[in-house]
Amino acid sequence: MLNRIREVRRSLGRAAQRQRGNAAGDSQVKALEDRISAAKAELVALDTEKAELLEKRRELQRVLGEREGRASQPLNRVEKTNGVPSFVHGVRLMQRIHRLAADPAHGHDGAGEVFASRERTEEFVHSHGVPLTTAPDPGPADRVVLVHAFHGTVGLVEVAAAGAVRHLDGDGRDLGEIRAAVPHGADIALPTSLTPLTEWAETLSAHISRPYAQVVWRQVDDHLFLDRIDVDPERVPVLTEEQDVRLGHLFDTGHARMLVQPFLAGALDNRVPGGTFDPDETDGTEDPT
Amino acid sequence: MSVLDPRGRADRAKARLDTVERAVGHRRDQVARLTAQVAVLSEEARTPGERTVGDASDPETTLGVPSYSLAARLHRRANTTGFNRREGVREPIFRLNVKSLALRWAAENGVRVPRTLGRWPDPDAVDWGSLPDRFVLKDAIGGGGMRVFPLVRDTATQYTDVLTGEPTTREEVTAKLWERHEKRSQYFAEEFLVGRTGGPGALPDDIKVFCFYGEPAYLEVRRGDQSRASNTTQRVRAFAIDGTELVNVRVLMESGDRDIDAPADFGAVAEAAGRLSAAIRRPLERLDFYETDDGVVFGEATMNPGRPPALIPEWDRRLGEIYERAYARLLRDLADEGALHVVFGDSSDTAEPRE
Repeated sequence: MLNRIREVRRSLGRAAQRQRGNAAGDSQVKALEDRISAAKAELVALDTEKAELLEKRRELQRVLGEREGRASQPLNRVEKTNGVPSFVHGVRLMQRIHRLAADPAHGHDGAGEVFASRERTEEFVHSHGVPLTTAPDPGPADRVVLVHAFHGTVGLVEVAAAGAVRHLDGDGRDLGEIRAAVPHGADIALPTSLTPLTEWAETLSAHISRPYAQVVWRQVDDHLFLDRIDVDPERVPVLTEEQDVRLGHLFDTGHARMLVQPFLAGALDNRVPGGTFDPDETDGTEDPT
Repeated sequence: MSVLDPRGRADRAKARLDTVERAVGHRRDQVARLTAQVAVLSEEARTPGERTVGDASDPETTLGVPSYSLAARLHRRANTTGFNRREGVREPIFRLNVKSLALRWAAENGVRVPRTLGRWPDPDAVDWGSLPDRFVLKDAIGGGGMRVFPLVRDTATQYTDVLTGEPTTREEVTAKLWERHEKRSQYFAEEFLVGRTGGPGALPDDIKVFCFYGEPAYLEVRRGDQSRASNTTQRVRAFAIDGTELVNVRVLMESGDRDIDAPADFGAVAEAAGRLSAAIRRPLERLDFYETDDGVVFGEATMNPGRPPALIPEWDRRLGEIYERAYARLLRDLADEGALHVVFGDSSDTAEPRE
């Protein structure tokens, strides 16, 4: 009997233990099921996000494709591009680079220092046969003519009077309303001396070690003064896309012209210890350019 | 095991959880890549002018922010659309397009280059009998691996073209070289480099380092990238020069399985790339290397990669900043040497070089 009682007690103990184990197991399974539910919910949310992103990507590929006359731009072709020239991008890029100089206003080449001085500016202007003096004071002017010059080529001329601006290309053609930031002055009379002004700006900019410079003239009565040559202008026109690209091409040209001076000086040559790399005839190869 | 057995039920729940979590992980990766692609394409869809002025309150006075891709394209246009040529500028880095010259230049700068085994004026002149069992035969000009033949001799007349994995003969290789022969072509054989972790017949991975006038910044390890090996799948891993792996940074290029090794010695790659890059008077270029048991070996210099990377905005700007600092150093050096300054007329060049 005693054994029987012990047996029953043991059996009851095992049952209780099993019950406790089941409870613990149930709790573990429940925790796992909760995590599965959360993961599935995340999966659903991710699927939704993925579908939205795929649609956005397809739309962007359509936009990029349209530029090349395609229905869609394949991803692996997006990088195969020369990009598009841009006036504002090019000018601001070169400004940021020159502003990394020890004296940001002077730039690496010291051009900013030269044109910060009225005397040095006049010396520079006269040395190139341009007869005008710089303006004695920034007083009132009847008209201001701002010439945007790209190392020897004028791309844009602004004629400003009474708070409005008229825009012309380098050949004097009126470009109409091409700029959102300033009122368009369609009726502003042009100075009779516009052609020599642009020609002088071409001459001067061709001798400045930057791809782009602004040459600013002021007209007071019948007198023209060179107001300033600005190689680091605060304001750069933001134009229509067509005009930004047109002037972007001129910036690219100006950038190439900027490199002529160091190229002819041999300063762009590849280097080796002690000097420049100057392969001799024994290589039997020609310059591929 | 009974379905009512708690342990059994827990095991099954764990297995289901693993399956769902793997799916979640995979989906997260897809979403991260798509997010990065949308970010890159959104930038690409804007004009350079729009990217420059951004959402500035006064677009005409904002200086904008650096961008590597826009800068790289400016330099690429200068060469590919002829701006430089029309203005009479022939960037001297062009000379390094000739592989034999590039190798000599690299060697003179103290960087290991593959040993040259022979040099011939045309494909018929190649002295096959003088070459070892493994060598690389190439034209001194041309890119994309189209005129590069890494060969392993199987029999007296049979070879394996390691780039394609196909058997070939000297006659076939000679004919292929003649197909692309140019007046400027010159042929040379060089030692067959063995990758650090590869077998004797395995090509080392390409390590392509994007450099900025002495500062290497970003690199890609590529395998199966050669255009002649059309049946191979390209695999790419990208890294910052300090060895940090960059996942989902160049997301428009298919990366494949990425089961390739990272460089073992980033420091050695950076040292060689920095030294050579400082010897090129240009703010950016790509320099290619191989990592072998014998150290880092120079491959070639590329002035304008066929596909200048379009990176996610954070890295496009970061490399853009590095590029602008590089161009600043270059302009300062040119000015210090008197090679970049305002020119006064009357034959009196009165602008003094900067102190």
